[in-house]
Amino acid sequence: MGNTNRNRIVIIEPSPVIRLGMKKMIEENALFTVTGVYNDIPSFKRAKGDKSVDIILVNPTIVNAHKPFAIKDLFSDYPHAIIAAIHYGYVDSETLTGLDGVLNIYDDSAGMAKKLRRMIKMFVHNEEKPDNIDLSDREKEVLVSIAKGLTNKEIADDHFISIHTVISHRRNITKKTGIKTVAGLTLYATFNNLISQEDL
Amino acid sequence: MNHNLFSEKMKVADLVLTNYRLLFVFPSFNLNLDLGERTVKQICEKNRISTSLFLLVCNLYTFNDYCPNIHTLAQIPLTDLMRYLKNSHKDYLENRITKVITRILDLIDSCCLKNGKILMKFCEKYRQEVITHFEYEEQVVFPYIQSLLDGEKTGKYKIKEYGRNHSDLDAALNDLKNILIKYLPPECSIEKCRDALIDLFLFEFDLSKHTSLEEQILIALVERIEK
Repeated sequence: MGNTNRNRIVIIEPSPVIRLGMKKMIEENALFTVTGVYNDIPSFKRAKGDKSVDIILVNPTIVNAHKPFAIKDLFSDYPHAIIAAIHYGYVDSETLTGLDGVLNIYDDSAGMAKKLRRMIKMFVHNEEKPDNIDLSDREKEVLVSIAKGLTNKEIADDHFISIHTVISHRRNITKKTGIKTVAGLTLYATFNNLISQEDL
Repeated sequence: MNHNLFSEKMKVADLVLTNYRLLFVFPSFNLNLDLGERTVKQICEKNRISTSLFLLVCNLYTFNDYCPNIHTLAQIPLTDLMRYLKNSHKDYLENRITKVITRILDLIDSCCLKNGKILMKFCEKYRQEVITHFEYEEQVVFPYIQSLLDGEKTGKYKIKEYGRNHSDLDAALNDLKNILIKYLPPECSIEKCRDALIDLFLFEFDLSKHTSLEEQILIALVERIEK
C-alpha cells in the first residue's frame, strides 16, 4: 500500500446520487482519490477495476443473497484491499462486523476522511506486524553487529553483503522484534543471549 | 463531538474523577488539590492559571482525537504554555523518569538480573537524552519565542527548524517496554515487573501528550506571530 501517494478508493453502490456524491466528498480530502465508481460487483469485475486499490467501499445490501461473511470472499482477487461498507438504511450488524470498516452516508467529508484514514492505519498496523516470528540466523548475525555499534557499511563489509541488504535486515529485525533504537537492539541481543554484556 | 469536551463551568473534581491521569498535569500548573466543588473557571482564577490553557491540556489528555480549533488556539497565552512545558520538564526529570528507573533497579535487585548492568546503562542513556532534549528547548527555543513576544530581533532562527529537529523521545521507551514484557527471565517477580511497566506506560502517555502540545500547539502559535 503506497503511503507516499494518495490512497486509492473504489465505490460500488447502486444509487448514482450516492456514489457520485461520495466520490465528490471523499475527493475533497487530498489524501484520497476515487479510481472508479460502479453500479454493482459484476460490473466492477468485468471492468477489471483498479488492481492497486486500497479501499473498496461497497453497499452490502447488493450482496444480500450471500451470507454476510462471504462479502469479503467476493473480493478475493484483491487480497490487499480494505473492504468497507457504505451504510444507510438497514444493514444487520453481523454483515458490518464481517467487513473492515463502515462509512455512513450521513458523515460529512471530514468525518469520512477520518474514518478512511483510521481504516488504513489499522490495516497497515495489522499487516506490517507479523506474529512473533523468530529472527533468521543471518538477522541474528546482523543484530549482533548492530549491538556492537558497527555502521551499515562496516556490517556490509564484514558479512559480504550490500548496504541495501543490511538495511533490509534491519527493517525486518525491527518489524519482528518491535524494537527500533540501536540501544534497544543491544538490550534485545543481550537478553536473548546473542551477546554478553561484557562484550560491549 | 465538541459537546462532550471539558468546559469552564465543570467542577475540577469531576474532571479528575473522569480521568485520573489529569493528576499528572496538576504539578505542572502548580495546582494543589483541595478542589471542593469549585469550577474550572474558579480554580483557574484563584490560582492564576490561564483557563483556556488548562482546558486545552485537560481535553488533550482525555479525548484521544481532540484537536483544538483556531478559535481555541488563539486564546492560549504563549508565556503560560512555555511555563507549563518547563514545569513538566522539571517534573519528568525529577520525579517521573527517576521513579521509572528506581522501579527498574528494584526489579533488577529482586531477581539478581544477569543483564542488569546493561539495562541500567540503557536507562541512564535515556535520561541523558531527555536532559539534552529539554535543555535545547529551554536554552534555544523558549528564549527565541520570548524575544519574539518582546518584539526583539531574533536573527535567522525560525520555529520550523525546531519542528524539523524535534527528536523522538518515545522510541527508547517503546523498546524498553518490549524488552521488559517479552524477555525478562521468569525469576523476576511479577509485582516488580508490573510496577516498573505501569510507571513506564503512564510516563510514555504523558510524554506523548507533551509532544503533541509542543508539535501541534506551540509551533502553530509561534508560526502565527512569526508572520
